[in-house]
Amino acid sequence: MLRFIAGRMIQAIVTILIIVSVVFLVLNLSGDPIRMMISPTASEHEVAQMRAAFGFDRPLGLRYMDFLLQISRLNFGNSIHTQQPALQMALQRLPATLLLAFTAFALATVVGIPLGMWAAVRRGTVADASVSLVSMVGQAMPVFWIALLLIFAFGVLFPILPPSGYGTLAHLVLPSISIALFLLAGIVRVTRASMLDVLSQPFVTVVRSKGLGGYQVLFKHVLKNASIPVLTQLSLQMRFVIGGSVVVESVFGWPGIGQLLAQAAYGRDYPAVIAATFFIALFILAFSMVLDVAYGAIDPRVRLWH
Amino acid sequence: MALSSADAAPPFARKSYLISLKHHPLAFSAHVVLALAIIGAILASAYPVDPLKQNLMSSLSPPSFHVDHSTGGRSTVPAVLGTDALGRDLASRILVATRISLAVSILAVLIATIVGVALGLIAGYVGGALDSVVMRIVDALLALPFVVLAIAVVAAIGPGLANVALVLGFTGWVTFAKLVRGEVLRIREYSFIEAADSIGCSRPRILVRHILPQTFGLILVNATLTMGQMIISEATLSFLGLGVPSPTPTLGGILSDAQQTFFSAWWIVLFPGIVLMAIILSINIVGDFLRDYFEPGEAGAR
Repeated sequence: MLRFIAGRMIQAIVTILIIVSVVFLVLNLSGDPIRMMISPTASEHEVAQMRAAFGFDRPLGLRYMDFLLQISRLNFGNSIHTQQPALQMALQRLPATLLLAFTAFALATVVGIPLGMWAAVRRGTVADASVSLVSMVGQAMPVFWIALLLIFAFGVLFPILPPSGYGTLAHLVLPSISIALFLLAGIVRVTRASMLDVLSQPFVTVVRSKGLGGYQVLFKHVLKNASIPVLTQLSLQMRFVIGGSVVVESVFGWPGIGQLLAQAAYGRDYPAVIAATFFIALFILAFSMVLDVAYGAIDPRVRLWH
Repeated sequence: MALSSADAAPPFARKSYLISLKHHPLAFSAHVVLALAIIGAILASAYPVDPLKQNLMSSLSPPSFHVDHSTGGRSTVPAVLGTDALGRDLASRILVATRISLAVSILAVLIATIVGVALGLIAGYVGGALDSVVMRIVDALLALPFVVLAIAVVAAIGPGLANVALVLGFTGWVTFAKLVRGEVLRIREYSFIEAADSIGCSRPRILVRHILPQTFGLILVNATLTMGQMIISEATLSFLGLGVPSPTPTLGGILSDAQQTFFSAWWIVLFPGIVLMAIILSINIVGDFLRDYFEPGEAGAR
């Protein structure tokens, strides 16, 4: 197991290295960052000075090596706009994103798994069809539109929840529901398919013929066996949670790392973009690794190590 | 009605596409919605109201079927979907925005398909170090949410219509590469490839003439499903102000502006979103239908 964790960590480092390199290369090959930062009326001399100040006058290969060295020390440079270290900016915003992401994730799981089970048990009925339809529609709604509709419903029509901001529990409700709704579809689909798969197996008939009641069979036998694909699916879902939270944070003014990324991209604040991307990737990879190890520890069948 | 045969001979008799469609009312309606959206997008400029023409006298007028002469508008067409804060006609803006959205995402899907299929074919067939490098990059990029990657790249090359298509295309190729590579690994083991090899076909010829046609169905299904994602992503980028810049109307941009007038103008929030949702939903349904059509055995597996 330690070897597995070590292997996954190396894999994660390689992945982050590739992501950061891709972003670095695109940022550096696609134009002159100095020209974009400086006013168009600046003289050639001023441009050259600024270029030297930021180290952009050296060859790309050298800058790339420097960049990697700095990243390995978690030094992302200073934000072009606020002059604050980009690392600090990203770290300050991480807790808000974690709070939002885990709440949405928990919400989607708690609602999605029973819904998927229900649809599977009622297979072929109106209930099943409507759950499928709703999850299909849910997948087609852009997350920012879900967010806008929720704000409209609960912030404008029935003003019972704050439409934006951060701080209290009430502020958490709408953003996390927006992301959860968007996630729900996938979880419902996988749960339903995997439940149907298990329900058709002979052992279910056996325990039923032994005289066990419906719910006991469903929860004790079927759900337990159906949980593996569902859990593997969940470990991949964090990607979509974070993808959704980038947008949702911007809509709700949630001071998370996703909002930082969008704002930094808008302002072409490269150090902040790279720092935000780095921590988003790190979080997603860490989450899926922890989940994979946890399942493996609980259930030997999903163990990815031997 | 004569059955039209597909150009690549399928391994088993396949029902004609239209006949299959007749038995799937949902998929049929999805095709109709998509066709309407495409026709609307093509004819957008024929709509008699200019999407950019401001008229502050009729700012934020709700949807109506009556021509409002009192506001001094010379228009003879009622604002059926209402107007925005600058008095611009919402219906006309949505039509043009749909055109932009479809144009950008079709372009993006084309780029993604070409890049992804080429890399997937080469990686799968050549194998070795090249394969490992390509697949490492694919896995790394797949670990990140698509939107995050797109935002990071937009930060570099800046917003704009062509840029958005490029960004989405060059970040969306990964699923194509992964799928096609897997198919190549599977197909290259078949004896007809060995046969082609033994009669002296060159490697590029085998790849393009013998392996590539076998993956068309899969590529088409993935292209359709990717198209839905591209539309969402384009709308998201525009919503965040990182997409096609205003005054060009985009569905995401209109929805972003709608936040300013939230408390008074529900129609600006509702209609562009419905159009967006209808198009994405239809594309997803068509994609699912195509998958069932091309891979009947794996219906519903995802």
